Amino acid sequence: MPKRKLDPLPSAAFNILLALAGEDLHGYAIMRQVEEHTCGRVRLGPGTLYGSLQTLLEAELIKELDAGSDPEDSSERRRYYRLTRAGLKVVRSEVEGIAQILRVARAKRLLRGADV
Amino acid sequence: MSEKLYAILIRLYPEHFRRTYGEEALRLVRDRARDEKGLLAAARLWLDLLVDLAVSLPREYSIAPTTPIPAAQGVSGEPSFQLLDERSPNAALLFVAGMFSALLFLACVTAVAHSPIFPTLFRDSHSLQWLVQSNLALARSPVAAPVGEYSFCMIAVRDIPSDSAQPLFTFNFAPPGASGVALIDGKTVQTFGNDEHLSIRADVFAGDHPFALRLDRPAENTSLSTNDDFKYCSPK
Repeated sequence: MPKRKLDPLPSAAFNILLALAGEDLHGYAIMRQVEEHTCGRVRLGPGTLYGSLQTLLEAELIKELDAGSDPEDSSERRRYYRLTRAGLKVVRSEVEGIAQILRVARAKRLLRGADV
Repeated sequence: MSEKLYAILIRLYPEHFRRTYGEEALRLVRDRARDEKGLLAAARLWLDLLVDLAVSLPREYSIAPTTPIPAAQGVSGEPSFQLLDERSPNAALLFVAGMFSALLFLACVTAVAHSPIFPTLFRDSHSLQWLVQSNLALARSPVAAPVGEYSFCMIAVRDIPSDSAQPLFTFNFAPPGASGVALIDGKTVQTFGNDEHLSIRADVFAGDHPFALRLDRPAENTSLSTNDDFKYCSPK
């Protein structure tokens, strides 16, 4: 079976890892988190979301938890995902790389806005 | 509604993806449809889903697990067939695929039928009208003789007498008509002058016969009638 690629880390996979940093989430919650932290620019569709989750599971960057009950609908059970130690390392490395780029961008006065 | 439509679309994904994430993907669509109300939100949802489908579908197929099936692995060396999928093809998926194939076929046929090359590729080589037109074009070409000449062969299915109720050929020329000579087997069977309507009658035995019509000028808007006793064929 051909391996799914994670080098370089695709944008969708990075956003999922970032969403899972700090809390366990199910698919729809991950999608919402990604939408929120990208200011609505990225809305992961089902194909991309679950394809990326499968890739991250195979790479052991995330793991699937035992199905938990949905507080809004007790008849349905959802799959929750958690960041692994390796996943945390990868997302931290990616974020540090972005931070370094940001420092360069600030030095070159390429960024606008008060919060940069 | 969105969920039902997406339930059809999700069948396009490979089996392993559907089996593992089909329910989750459907639930995601259901959740979004529940949380995002309004026409604009619904349009955005479907735009997202279609873009996602276009992006993720090829990727999922490119990494879909494949089961190598050795060919002709039957008992005592006899060829055998094996199913690639453990489940039989889904009826809804077959219907969608059938409709898609039919639409694609229709589009291809329409495109070819309206293409300028269609008459060249698909014309009936035994069509008299085509023979007349091609000969007319030849007669008008700079390399042709200044007079118009139509020639084709005819296959008489039986002996045709000159007093047959139906003439062999009937030509209609636009005014002021045409003058010339009609030949069968190289022999003159009829001469005519400034005729707008010309009926050719002759004794013809069953079999192949070359026919030629020589005109003093290229004819405009020529048309010919057909005869039940013979068929036209291309000149040899």
